[in-house]
Amino acid sequence: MILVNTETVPGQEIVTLVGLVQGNTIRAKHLGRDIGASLKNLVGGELRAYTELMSEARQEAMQRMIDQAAALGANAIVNVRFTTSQVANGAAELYSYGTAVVVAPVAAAAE
Amino acid sequence: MGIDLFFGLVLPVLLLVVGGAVGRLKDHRHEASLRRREAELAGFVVTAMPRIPGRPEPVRASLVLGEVVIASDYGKQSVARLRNLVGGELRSYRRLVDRGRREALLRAVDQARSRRASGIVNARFETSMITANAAEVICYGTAIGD
Repeated sequence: MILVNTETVPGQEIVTLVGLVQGNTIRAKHLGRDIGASLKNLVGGELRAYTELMSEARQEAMQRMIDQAAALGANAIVNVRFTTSQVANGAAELYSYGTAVVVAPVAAAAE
Repeated sequence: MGIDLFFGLVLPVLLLVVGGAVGRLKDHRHEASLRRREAELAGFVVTAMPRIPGRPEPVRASLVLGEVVIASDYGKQSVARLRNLVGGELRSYRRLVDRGRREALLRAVDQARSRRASGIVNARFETSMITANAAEVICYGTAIGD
């Protein structure tokens, strides 16, 4: 599955427009009562555990979008976008969406 | 009376000084790291445009994503609390989120370079709150190559 956030895939032509696909996940933002995060809040800097948490969640949301596109018979997703929003106290929704398409190399599409 | 004085005044001031000092040290280190890595970028183009003008049409493309969760220190938080009374810009927070964005961008570039890309187009940024004192910054775009 090709993923791009441009409107077209370079070197390929869009043969079929499949439709809007999406994937999301809602995660609790906190890692629980861990002393590490409290200490980090004192001195600042990157919170690596949180970075990994959000990264994994985002990958999960992306995978759901890819699975939906594959089920619809697409081989690429264009105009991929990400949003993050707070939906409940302490929980965030990670959402990714895009347009699923079928692409073919430009020479083949011209035939 | 002594215990009250300790927890009410001495401890917060101690946390402020330690947190603020270590926080500033970390800021400077991060800034130095960012500058060093940005200098190594030479020739690699990152743009918010859909294509890079003056370059031939790319042949390969894939999505890249850089993420970081960055937190403020106790010193910054204390200043922010005071600022909340009078309003105005939180300069230290602006610099913090700015460094977060630069970090996220550099991570997206690392991912692109590992795929032997020559540039990133359609770069986009998103920022969201994780906790009261930490924000996540992401940078994503399409890595292009020949």
